[in-house]
Amino acid sequence: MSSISTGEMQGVKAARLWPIADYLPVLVVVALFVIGSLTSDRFLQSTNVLNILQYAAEPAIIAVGMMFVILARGIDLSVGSVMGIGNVTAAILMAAGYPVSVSIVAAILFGGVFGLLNGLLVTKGRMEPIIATLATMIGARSVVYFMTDGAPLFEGIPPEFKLLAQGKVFGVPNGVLFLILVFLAAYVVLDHTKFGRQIYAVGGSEETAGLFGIKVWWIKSSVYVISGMLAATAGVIGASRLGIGDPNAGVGYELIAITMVVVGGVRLAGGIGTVFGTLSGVLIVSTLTNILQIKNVSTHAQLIFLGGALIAMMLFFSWRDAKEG
Amino acid sequence: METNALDIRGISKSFGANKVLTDLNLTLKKGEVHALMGENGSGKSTLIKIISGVYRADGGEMYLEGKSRKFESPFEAQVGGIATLFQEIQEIPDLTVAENLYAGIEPIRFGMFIDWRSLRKNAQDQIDELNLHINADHKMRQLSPSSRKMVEIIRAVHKRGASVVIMDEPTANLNQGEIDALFATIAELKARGISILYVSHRIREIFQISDRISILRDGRLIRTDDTKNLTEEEIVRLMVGRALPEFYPRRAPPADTVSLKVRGLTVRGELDDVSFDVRSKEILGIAGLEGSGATSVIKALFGLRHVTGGSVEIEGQRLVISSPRNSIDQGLAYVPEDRKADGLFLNKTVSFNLIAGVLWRYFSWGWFVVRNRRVQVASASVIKRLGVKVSGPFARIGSLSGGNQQKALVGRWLIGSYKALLLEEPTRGVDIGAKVEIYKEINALAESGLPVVLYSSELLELIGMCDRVVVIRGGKISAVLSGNELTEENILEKALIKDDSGPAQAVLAHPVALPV
Repeated sequence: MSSISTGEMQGVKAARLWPIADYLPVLVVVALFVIGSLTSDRFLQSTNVLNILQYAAEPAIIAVGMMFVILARGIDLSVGSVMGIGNVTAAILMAAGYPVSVSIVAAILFGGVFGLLNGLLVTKGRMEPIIATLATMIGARSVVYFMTDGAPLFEGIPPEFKLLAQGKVFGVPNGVLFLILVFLAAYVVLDHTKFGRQIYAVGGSEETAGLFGIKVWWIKSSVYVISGMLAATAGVIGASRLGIGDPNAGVGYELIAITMVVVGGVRLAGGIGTVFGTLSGVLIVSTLTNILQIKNVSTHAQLIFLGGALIAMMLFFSWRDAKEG
Repeated sequence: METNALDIRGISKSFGANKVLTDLNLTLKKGEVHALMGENGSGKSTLIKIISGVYRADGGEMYLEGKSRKFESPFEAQVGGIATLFQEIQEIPDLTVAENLYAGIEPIRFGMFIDWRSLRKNAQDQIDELNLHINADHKMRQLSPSSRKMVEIIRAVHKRGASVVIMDEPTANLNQGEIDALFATIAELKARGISILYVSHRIREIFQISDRISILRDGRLIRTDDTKNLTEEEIVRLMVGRALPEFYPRRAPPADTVSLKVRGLTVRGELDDVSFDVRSKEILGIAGLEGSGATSVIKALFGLRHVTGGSVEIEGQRLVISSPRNSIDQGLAYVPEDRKADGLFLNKTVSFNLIAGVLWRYFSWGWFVVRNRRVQVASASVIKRLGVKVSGPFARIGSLSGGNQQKALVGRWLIGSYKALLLEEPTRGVDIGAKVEIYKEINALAESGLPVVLYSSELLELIGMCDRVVVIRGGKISAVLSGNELTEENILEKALIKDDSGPAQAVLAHPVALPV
């Protein structure tokens, strides 16, 4: 037996090349705020900042659900349509005379049903997440049109429901409060519960997670249910904000949500990413959009900047990953 | 009598008609390091997969601490007390060491929240107790291979309470300092009464670490004995011992002209200064155990490894090694080791697979049109020549038997002309009838003037097919064998045991005068 002490071995392979790279999304948010305040006096006014957050509330809540799914190495394309489901379900039930609370809970649960469908298709049906949720995206939107005959629902929405999103607490719009609540809850779940850490384990390596005794299919199904319920929640908030049931609510939101999540440094291949990163991603997208709006950049041209920002961030991440090996 | 840690009685296992393990008995005493040795294909890996719950045995009993056990999954085996360290480290690379140690068994407070402080502290204490210099807050991917292995051991033994630890080639990828650290840990485990089944080809290490050795051959236990009663030479003799079957077809002798000249081929971490010549019409074998670098020789030549040094010449022309595409253009033909992953488009037709490597020859009209008629004619002739059993050239190749797939893979290179043929495991998973046909085809290709390099883990195949065999150990050529020296024992001995005669030369002296 050798007598060389184990103390001599090198424990760590290499120091992180760029520890600051982990904070890049935050730095970009700071940079955008600096740019915004330098180019416009309106930018830093409290109404504008709250405006940014309020604009962000619905896609941000969807992005949180998307983050759960992506962390477990999945993707959820159905969120936009499921947001529509939440929106019109709440509106229809309230128009039919059900209490506000019952309508909201029912709408969120209905969204969860679509999430469960996604989860089962991916785990038990062994489908590619992108295909399974694409099918749900198409199907759920059709359900929305079927429920509303394709027309917006203006009648029968009680005023107290409108207060849900339109109201304020100490000057802060409720929508912003919902956003903060959802992010806090996501942080607690992902960083401080067994379930949250198991999502990271499954996203990092399904095989090893199985060997560690984690029920992989259960974790994977759960994240889709969470995503579905959060998407429906965003739909309910949207219905309250506009005071109508809109069958086109959430169209295209899946792409905004994915953009927010990956710009925030969550790896599309699963296992890496933080709530803080996703929050930064949300702020990057919404602040950039806000600055462009203040500067009167045409809405058609705005998306070019968004796409450019996405490419720049992704190039940086892949360059960093290649460097760190 | 003391109960044994693990008792295996009469375990058998077949895959199809292929009997891998026959009525095998093995006993692991408490607190011993028991080495398991055997050639590639002797059934070692099947045995450890059965013990660790990956495979189920067809028959036989397994007793853990005297109690009969049957494991349905690797996780059940782990919980039951058997930890297996496969060659591939089981880890979540982006989580911290502490989290990997406690995955699935995190300490909880207030009913639902992870107690991060005690999780980190316990993990660090556990590591410090073993005198390992690992920071529990580092991510797994930041650690060196040996540290990752240690973390795996801690998880298996200390966190899950394993009483039996199976280690499959644990020292592959480790440097000497790391190996010493691993052995210190193994000694620690022994002292705690934990038994270790140690699978390795590295005979020196086995003599250093093991108490007893079991030798497998053709799925049977040949002998179990105390390490001190055995010698390196005896182990080699026990590992081999089959007669050369008669089915290797005869072939014309190689020509005198060297057509493939390899000098100082180096791939960092895998191959070190490998030089050899292959003559026209010669088949040169490459032998070596897992982790020796033998499988990298052909991959390096074909452009699948990052070659860090050396030069290769074909027919006097210097080969530029950059990518497989480039290697094919320069006249190299290649049959990969992993047929399904690297060799075939399983859901495409046989003819598509046959011409895939030379597709551009069947374009016309400025690359827009594939000349289907010519594709059919060319593939039909190969199918006929090799006797591939298909309903037609448009049958999907995935629907064929393994032997027929393999024939198509070799036959791919009959279309078009090449300057050298590189083969990896050309008959893996193929029945004897198909083997003979593939051998004939390889011989025909060699006789047409090609130099052939053949890597195989089946020693008999190398002996039966090759004019000379280059044995690789630790990334270097340890011997070149030909003629009467070409025996299983010699190959294994050179592959396993370090001799001090210095690196052998596979380079031919000029003018060539070789016994053939």
